[in-house]
Amino acid sequence: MDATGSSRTCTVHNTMKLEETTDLLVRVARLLYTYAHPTDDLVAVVTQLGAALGARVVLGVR
Amino acid sequence: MKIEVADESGSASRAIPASPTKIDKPIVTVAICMTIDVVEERLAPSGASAVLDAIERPRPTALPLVALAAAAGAGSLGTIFGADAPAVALSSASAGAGAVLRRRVSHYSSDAFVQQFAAAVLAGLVGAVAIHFTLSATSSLVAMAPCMILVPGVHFLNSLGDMYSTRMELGGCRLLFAMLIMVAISTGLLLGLGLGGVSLPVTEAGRSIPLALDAPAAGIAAASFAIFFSTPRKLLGWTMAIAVVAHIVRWVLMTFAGLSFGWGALAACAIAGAFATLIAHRLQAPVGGVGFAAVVSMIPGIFIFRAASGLIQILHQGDSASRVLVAGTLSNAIMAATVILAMGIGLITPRRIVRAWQPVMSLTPASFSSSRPTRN
Repeated sequence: MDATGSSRTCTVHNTMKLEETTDLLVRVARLLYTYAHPTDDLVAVVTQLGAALGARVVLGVR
Repeated sequence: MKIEVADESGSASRAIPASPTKIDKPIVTVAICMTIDVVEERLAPSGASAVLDAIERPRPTALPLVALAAAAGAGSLGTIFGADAPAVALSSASAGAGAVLRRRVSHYSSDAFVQQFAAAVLAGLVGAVAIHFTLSATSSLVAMAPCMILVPGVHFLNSLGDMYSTRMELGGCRLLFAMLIMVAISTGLLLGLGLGGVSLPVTEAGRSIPLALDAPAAGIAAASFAIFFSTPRKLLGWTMAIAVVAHIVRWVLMTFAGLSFGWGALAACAIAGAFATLIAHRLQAPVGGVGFAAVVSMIPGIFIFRAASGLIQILHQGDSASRVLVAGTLSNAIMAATVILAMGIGLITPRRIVRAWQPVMSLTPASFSSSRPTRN
């Protein structure tokens, strides 16, 4: 994976519950959004992190 | 923002309240590196929270460094737009004082506009003194150069990126936010000048400068903006190098091919965007951390301030406003819009092209362990 969120498909061993996975994704999304990261890259990074954690992610940014 | 997460155990949906008003590249870089480490199995998912804990409360960059960066940025931007030596010295001193004032104001108000407004008033007052006593042959730049470093270039460029991706609502909001900051800066600048009894000339011939001045000034301006954005140190040299190359291209095209500011900015930003994309990919850094700081000095603040001054003068003069004044005001406004649009297209297009190629490019990441970013 690179800084724009592009990556080979990869799923890591994740023992986190759905709630914890969601918490982590929310924190990453909030940080990247708050500190003016381009939205396309933000969505790609969060989606890729979710995929690595075995979760399907839909991020709506408004 | 709204996020929906689903796995085999169920699904969850959350609203994420956040405001995209800050800029801090190390935080973005650490968050991305953390994500990459999780994806590449160098960091356990459960350990990611500790990384986020460490970066969610950033410390501000040291005030002397910010003041120095502001002074260097204003001086170099003044140089790029043709300021003479006294104007460069005065605008540098004014911008440094403005940075200290902004930090002071931030202790009392977290308002997104007050800091820029206060610094712009100070710049206007200093500019008024310079114009009143004719301290420089380019006195109007004494007022404008310190305000140019306040222009929210990243927000302008992010808004264009969102609109390019048809996120019209978000792009529109970002654009409106950037424009409101510009209104605050322009109001402060014109108020400061007005308190000193002078106004900003709308139609003033620009001075061309030699490449030997333009290119180094662009590098210094890029370094200044990189410090404002808290860009990781490992990216500072690349940011300056891209800025220098981009300005050389722009200078050559404008001087020898006779291109306008808009076309020059388009070509320069396209080159900067291409280099920034490749370097960011190589260093696993956010593209914005490299590219934005390199080209933000091309944001046409000078045209925006002149257009704002022209609008105020037209408002005062009403029907008796001269054709020259109206044409000059319109010309400045159109030039500002054109240059910003050209910059956005120039920066975004190379990234789109590289993204289209990425499926056939090697995506094996470089080693992170030796390139972990540190805060400035």
